[in-house]
This record gives sequence, C-alpha cells and structure tokens, in this order.
Amino acid sequence: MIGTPGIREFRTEPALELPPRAAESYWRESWRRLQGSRIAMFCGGVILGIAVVAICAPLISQYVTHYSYSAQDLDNLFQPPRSPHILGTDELGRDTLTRLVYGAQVSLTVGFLTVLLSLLVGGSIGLIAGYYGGWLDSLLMRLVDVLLSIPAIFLFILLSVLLRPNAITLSFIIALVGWGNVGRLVRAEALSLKARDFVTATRSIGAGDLRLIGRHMLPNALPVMIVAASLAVGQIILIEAALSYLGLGIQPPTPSWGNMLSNAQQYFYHSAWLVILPGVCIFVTVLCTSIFGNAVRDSFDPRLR
Amino acid sequence: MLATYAVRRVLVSIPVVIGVTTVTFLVMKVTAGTYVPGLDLDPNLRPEDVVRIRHQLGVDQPLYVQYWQWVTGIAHGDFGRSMLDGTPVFAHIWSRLPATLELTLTAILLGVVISIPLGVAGARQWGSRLDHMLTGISVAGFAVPQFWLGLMLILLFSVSLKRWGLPWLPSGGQESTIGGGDPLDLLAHLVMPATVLSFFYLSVWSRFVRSSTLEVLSQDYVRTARAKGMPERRVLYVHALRNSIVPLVTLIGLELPGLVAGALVVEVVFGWPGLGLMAYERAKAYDFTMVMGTTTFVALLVILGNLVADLLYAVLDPRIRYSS
Repeated sequence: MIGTPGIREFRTEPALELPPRAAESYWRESWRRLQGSRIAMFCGGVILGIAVVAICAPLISQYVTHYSYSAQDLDNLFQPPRSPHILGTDELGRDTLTRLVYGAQVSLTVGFLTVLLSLLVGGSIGLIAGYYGGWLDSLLMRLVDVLLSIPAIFLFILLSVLLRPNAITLSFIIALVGWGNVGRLVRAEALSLKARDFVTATRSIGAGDLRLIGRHMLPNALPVMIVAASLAVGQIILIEAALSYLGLGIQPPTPSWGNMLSNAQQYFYHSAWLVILPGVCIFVTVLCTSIFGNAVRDSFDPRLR
Repeated sequence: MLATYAVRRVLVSIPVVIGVTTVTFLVMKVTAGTYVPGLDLDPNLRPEDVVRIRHQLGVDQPLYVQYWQWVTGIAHGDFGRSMLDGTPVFAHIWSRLPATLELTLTAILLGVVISIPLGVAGARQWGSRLDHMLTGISVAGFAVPQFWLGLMLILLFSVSLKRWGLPWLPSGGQESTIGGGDPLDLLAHLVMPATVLSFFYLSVWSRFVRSSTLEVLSQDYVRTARAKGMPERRVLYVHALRNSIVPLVTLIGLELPGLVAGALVVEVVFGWPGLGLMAYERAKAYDFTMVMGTTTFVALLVILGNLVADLLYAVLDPRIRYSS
C-alpha cells in the first residue's frame, strides 16, 4: 500500500495505452501512403504546374510572351532563343514558347480526357461482362481480344485520316480503340466482387441488377480503375504526340508537341532547338506522369497491401 | 498433352480472326464509306465511267455483300485491290513484309539480349546503387517518345558526326542506293531504327526480368542449390535464369501489337521500306482498301505471333499444358 512503511513502492506505470485511433478510410490511407513518397509528390507537383501553365495558356500568350500561337512573323524566321522571343521562333516566325504552352494544353487535355472516357467505356463493359457472365461475357471479352490484337496505330490511321481531329475528337478516337485493357481489369475485379457476401446480401433484399452494379460494385471496382488509369496517362500522351507527328492527330496551326516536331524536323541542321524543345517537354511530362502513376498504383492498389 | 493444348489454342484464335476482319471492315466503312479517291476530282470522267468504276471496285453493293466478299477473299488470301492502281493488296504486302520483319525481329532480339543481363544484374544487387540507377534508367526509357529518340539519334549520328568528320550512320532507308547492299551497309542502316524500336521495350522488359528473377531467387530450389554448395554463378545462370526468363516469352507475345505499331512510327521516321510506311503513305493518299488489307494482315500476324508465344511457353513450362 502506498504510504505503508517497509513496503517498497514500485511505481508501476499504467499499461501502455494508445489513444484509440479511428479506423481510416481506404482513400485517406492511400493518400497518406502516397504522400510518403517524396519523388512521387515532386512529380505530382510538376504535373500540377504543367496543368496550371496549360490552363493559363491564353493568359501567358497575352501577358507574358505577347504573341499568339499562330501569329507568323516572316521577317524573323528561325530566331534562336533571345528576347523578345524567349525561346525563339519557328519556321514561320511563330513564337516557340507560346506554342509549347498551347501544346501542353492539347497534350494534357487528350491525356486526361482519353483516360476518363476509356474508364467510362471500359469500366461499364467490364462490369456488365463480369456481372452477367455467360455468353455476354464471352462475347465482350472476344471483342476485347480482337481490339487488342489489331495494332492500335493502324486503326488510328483509318479513323483519323478523314476526320481531321481536334483535341476532343482525338480523345474519343483513342479511347474507342484503347478501352480494352481497362475492360479486362474491371471484368476480373467484377468477377471477384460477385462472389463476395455483400453482393448476395444486397440481392437477397431485392436489389435490382442496375442498383447492384451501379451503387455497390462500381465503388468497389474504383481502386482497380484508378490504378489502370494512372499508368495510362503517360502512354496516351505519347500516343497523341506520335499521331500528331504523323499528321494524323492535331492539325496545324493548332500546336501540339508532336506536330511541332514534324514541322521542325527538316530544319534541325541549323535550328536544332526546335526539335529538342518539344521532345523535352513530352519527355518530362510523360516521365512525371509515369512516376506519379506508379506511386499511385503502389499506394492505391488493394492487392499490393 | 501438348497437341491438345495446341489444338485448343488454335481453335480459340479463330473467332478472334473473324472478329478482326469484321472490325477492320466496319471501321473502314464507317469512316471512308464508299469514298473512292480521285473519282470526284477528275473532270474527264463521264458519269457512266464513274458508275462503272464504282461497280468494278464493288463499292455500290449493299454492305453485307461487300463484307461477305471481303471475308471470303481473306480466306483465299485475297486482301482486296488498291483503290489507286488496282493492283492486288497482297502483292504489296508480301513485297514489304520482309523489311518490317527484319526490323521487328531485330528489335525483339536486341531487347531480349540487353534486358536479360540488365534485369539479372538488378536482381542480384537488389537495393544497391546499381539497381536504383538501372531502375531509374528504365523508368526514363519508358517516357521517351520513339519518334523523338529517332530524330535525336539522326541528329547525333548522321548530322553531327558527319559535320565533325567522323564515320557516320545513314539516316534513312534500308540500304544505300549507290554501291550498297553488302551486309555492312545493311547493318549500318539497321542499327538506328532497331535501337529506337527496342528502346522502349528494353526498359519494360529489364524491369520484368528483374522482378521475375527476384521471385525465382526466393524459391526453395535455389536455396537447396546454394545449400548443396553450388557456386553462385551456376545457381544463377543454370537454374534461376531459365525459370525467370520463360514468362518473358508471354510478355513479348502481349507486346507484339505495340511493337508493330512502334515499327510503323520508326519506319516513317527512318524511311524504312516496310509495311508500316506503306500503310502510312497509302492512308495519306486515301487508298483505303490498301490500309484495310494491311491492317487485317498485320493483325493476323499478331495473332499468329501470340499463338507461337503461347505454344513456346507451353513447351518451356510443362505445367501450362495440363492446367487449362
């Protein structure tokens, strides 16, 4: 007893009790894990910066460079980087920096819009195929096999050569050809979700098919879709650049990093920076989206826990 | 049994083949419809000539008739006729196929030969600075646009080296038009396109080999081999390697469509006279039947390539033959 003489008092610490921690939601925990990777956060910041620059392209054109992306200045062709053209001019005297900034707009728009569309298409088809199974599943997956067997660029050639796409149309074209991978992934996830108890429970209280798919299976399939999307953005930017380079994507005078390269390639004997700069932009953007996408996959993939 | 697996695999491919012909046909009809290049622009053509030409090309038939003619033609190896000069599409495809095969197969070979040592080195010294550096280079290689890499290499090896008076590489074509054709000349023309095409896949495959090797090295039989006192080199190169590179076969099969698509871009950049460059030039000239025929042919090649890869995998890994 405390205070009783002769009895050594052992001050015992109370048993170590941590304060009760509220269970974290999947989203918050994944976001916290993502923040742990400094490289990923840096790349995310770079992408955000490029996005801000792209959104502000008209402002930059008006207040920073004072040139529009299509204003030709035939007295000042092939100027090297120096004032007043901060990055020089191209083969028609247009300001390179303004065109690069507008090109960022095109690339990021196509990248994100395409991913969104292919998530919509691939996700719906994958969920439907996985949920209903049977002949519908076989048919849809054969269709995916067919789409994935045809090298995409040939389909793009067929689709683009008459359509002369702009950024939005191009996104639809690429999404239409490329939803196959997402479809397969979502179908696999739907198959595994279908076997889970909550689906049986929901159906047993009378939920219809649409409600089950839309309100119950879709939110649970989101992590897989996010993972597929995060890795795809970089590749789609590369595809858009390649298509624009071939003349099958964004048409001049609208600048895209790809068509800037194809315009400049015949001049790289004397104006090499016109060929180097757009390529560096593509490389940096795709690199950062790839690194960030990999980190998103590592943080958000429920199978990697 | 390998035979039953092979037969089953071939049977599964047949619907895909039919699907490919259908999808290509649909895509062409939806975008190009019954458009025939040059027909509306020639002032010398009388209306009855236009009707006759359209009838000859078969574009005035109902859609299902055209589709049936298309599919039965493919079964006989007839991929249609060019809209520009009426020559059979298959003849053009066949004459350009060797160049594309040369480019693609060399790129695959380069990719495999370089990515295996890189991946194994990364796995052996897992977590070391070398490993991190290799992973970093792989991630960077993943992000480089192929056509830009081609232009940069041309800038360095064809333009700059020539300017500095050093031996330089030719910037385009398959062989020199004057005094060319010898193996060294062919090699000089092949080096840059093949390197550019394989670069992207190098990075993907070396990471794959690395993770596959890491997985294999943690298996029990590796531990047993080491416990028996086997030298590490033998453990790695005799036992671990042959198990870790077998999945690479399937990966290559899966990447075939991307390889062929990349080959098109590389052929355009380097002027390599292959199927891709032909499809591209004909597309710009609105010769849709040619593009449609080439697309179908290339897709059939890809399906064949996947089939070969799966069969090869079944030969290398007997477990596959009995599982499905």
